[in-house]
Amino acid sequence: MFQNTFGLNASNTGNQHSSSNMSPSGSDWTQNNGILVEITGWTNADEKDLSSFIHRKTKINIRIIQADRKTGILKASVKTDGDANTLSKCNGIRFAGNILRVKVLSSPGTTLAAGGNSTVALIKSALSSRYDSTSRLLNLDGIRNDVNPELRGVLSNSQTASKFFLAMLKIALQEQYKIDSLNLSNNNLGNNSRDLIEMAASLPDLQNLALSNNNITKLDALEKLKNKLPRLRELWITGNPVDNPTSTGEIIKFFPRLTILNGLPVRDESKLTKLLSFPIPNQSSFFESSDLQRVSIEFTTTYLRLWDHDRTSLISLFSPESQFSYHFDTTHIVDAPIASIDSKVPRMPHSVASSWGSYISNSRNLMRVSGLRPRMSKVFKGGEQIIQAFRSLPGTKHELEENPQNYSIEVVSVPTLNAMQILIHGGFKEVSPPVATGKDSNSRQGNRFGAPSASSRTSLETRSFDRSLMVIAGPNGSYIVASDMLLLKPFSGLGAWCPKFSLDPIPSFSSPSNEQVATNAVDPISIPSDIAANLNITQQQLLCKIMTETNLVLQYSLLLCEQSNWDYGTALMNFQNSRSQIPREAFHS
Amino acid sequence: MSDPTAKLESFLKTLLKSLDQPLLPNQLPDAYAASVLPQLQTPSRVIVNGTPYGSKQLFQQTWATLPASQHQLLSYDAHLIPTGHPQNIYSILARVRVRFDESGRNRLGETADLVPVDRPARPLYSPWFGVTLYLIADEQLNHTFECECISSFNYRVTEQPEKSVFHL
Repeated sequence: MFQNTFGLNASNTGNQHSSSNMSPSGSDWTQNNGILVEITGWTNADEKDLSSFIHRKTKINIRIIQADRKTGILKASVKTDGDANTLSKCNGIRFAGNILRVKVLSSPGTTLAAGGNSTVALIKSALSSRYDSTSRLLNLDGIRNDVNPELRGVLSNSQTASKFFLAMLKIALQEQYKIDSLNLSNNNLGNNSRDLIEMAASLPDLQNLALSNNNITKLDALEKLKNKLPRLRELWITGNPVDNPTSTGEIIKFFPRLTILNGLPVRDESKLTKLLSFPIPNQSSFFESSDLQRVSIEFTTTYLRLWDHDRTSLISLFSPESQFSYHFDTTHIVDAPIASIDSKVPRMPHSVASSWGSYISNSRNLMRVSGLRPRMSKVFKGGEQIIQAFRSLPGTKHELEENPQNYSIEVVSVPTLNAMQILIHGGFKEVSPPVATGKDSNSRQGNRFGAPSASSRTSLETRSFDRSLMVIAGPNGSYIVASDMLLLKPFSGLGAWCPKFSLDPIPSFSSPSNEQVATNAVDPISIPSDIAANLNITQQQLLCKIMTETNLVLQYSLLLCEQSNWDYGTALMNFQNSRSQIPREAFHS
Repeated sequence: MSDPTAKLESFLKTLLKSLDQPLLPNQLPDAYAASVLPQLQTPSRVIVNGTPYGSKQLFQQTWATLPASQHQLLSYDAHLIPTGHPQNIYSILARVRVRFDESGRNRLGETADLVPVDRPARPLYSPWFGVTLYLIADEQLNHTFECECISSFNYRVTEQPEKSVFHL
């Protein structure tokens, strides 16, 4: 199939190079291989710190061209328009106590336009004739022998040729070409690994690559691509000196997902997919029974709503034996995509104190707090103490009701306590500083509930969290929270349970269903496929939720959602307002 | 009064070590699987990424098919909850990070290779994943870790690196 896609056959193996020395007019684009950006507000640290900081936050490498401390202007370049756009979102973030300002000064398009409109046109024309949008193949096979004499001229010089390929890829990406397969066969490519590395950096999700009939002699040239093309599944290197039987075992080590080399299978693809996937399905929620599902969802929703709006009223849920504690861990495991962070909220402060100040004094990370007294003093017992501790924490806004898909809830029973254990994962925004100050708390305990000075200095941020609630059934249908533990983390975007992380179909695993304690009891309402096909996942979830909560049949639920612009709160309000006018047949009997 | 949480850190590290231990030379796959988290009660509530296991053995056998892993405890907190019975229970909430071998081989040595490959023994680790671990364990753990003291075990990957080849 790949052979057909790439049209690899004997007729393509000839390498007849044009001897023309014609170079592109105004070819200064080859030296301006990047997009120029200007950054200010960095001078409290050095350039390397800035570069590392930007890479940590955006995964973008900037190439510093000039850094002038006197003017405070740093000029750098990035590789693609996409990089420039992402980098521009750093505008306004805090770095080393200052606000960074990022300005994009030029793009490849503008640079090329200034220096050589004809070159851009040449590239665009070559791209349009060699790109197949159906198979997402960019076929640059033998482009050196292209019928266009100007193109042949550019490609006759090895230096301009390699830059031409990169410029071509850059423009292809700028023009939103989706490239899964790239054919660079018959182009006299050598061991210049930089070209291949740049190609890999531009197309990290490339799945098929043909480099046949080039002049790659060293394994090193391919080894430099190690970890750069993690999704590459098919590679052609026939007709290169490096292609010999002894190199096969080495080459497949460079590409973890490579299954076909030169048209021959080198790995069992289905087995490989299984080996590189977590063998257990990833479900966002689990409820041990439908009763627990109903009760726990109602309880959790109410608990977090009151936590956000009226924490004091939660006092009735605590007995003298109830316990509450929290801790935070600042480890960044994955960074939140910069676009997902609310730009209105100050971000990325430069110290733990300014970011976590409200939480520091009573954080009970037992990895760090040692000794009986310090450990026990950070567990709050009984309603009064617990509410005081609640009030010493910033005001928050969870979105469990608006965006339930961003949360994971798992609930099991605890027979020894006749309790349910609820585990919630998700995120929240801090919306106001703590209500309680040192004056409110017990004076004998000093700053136990958070010193006002530290809290007032603390910025309000978006955070990820995990929370465990042990809830015991009390008398007359009431509940007692025996244990409430809160773990706060830096915000890391959507949780790993969210669908965007499902890169491949989840492989089946050895028939666990008959031994599972219960089936996953997430909403079993099914939406007919013809309707589901027109809705995104969030809309499907909202539709299920509305059907459950209003008891409306599918047709009316859909109508309600559409008229409410797919907003949960509006839909419920509209439902309440017009309930008396809704016909009987609109409801499930 | 002694600190009721004094032994929990080494208990948690023992559990994580058991999730990471490699197959020993000449060890049979069944024997290896049985050595994964032996502290689970029979039966116990095991939930991994929202998927429940009623059988300790099935969980252990599934875990044994993973590539080599490396867990690291980052933080934890715990409450000792009175039950009214002789044994009180610990409610433990921990943050952990984990990475997996991406060389295309699992811990039982199985690969997908169709041609001979000379692999180094050393794993080729993925970027870190974030995990939240929640346990309910009996007070018995204060006497020995080699007992079936975990009645509820919840393992949830909360953060997945985008560039990882290994994925959920």
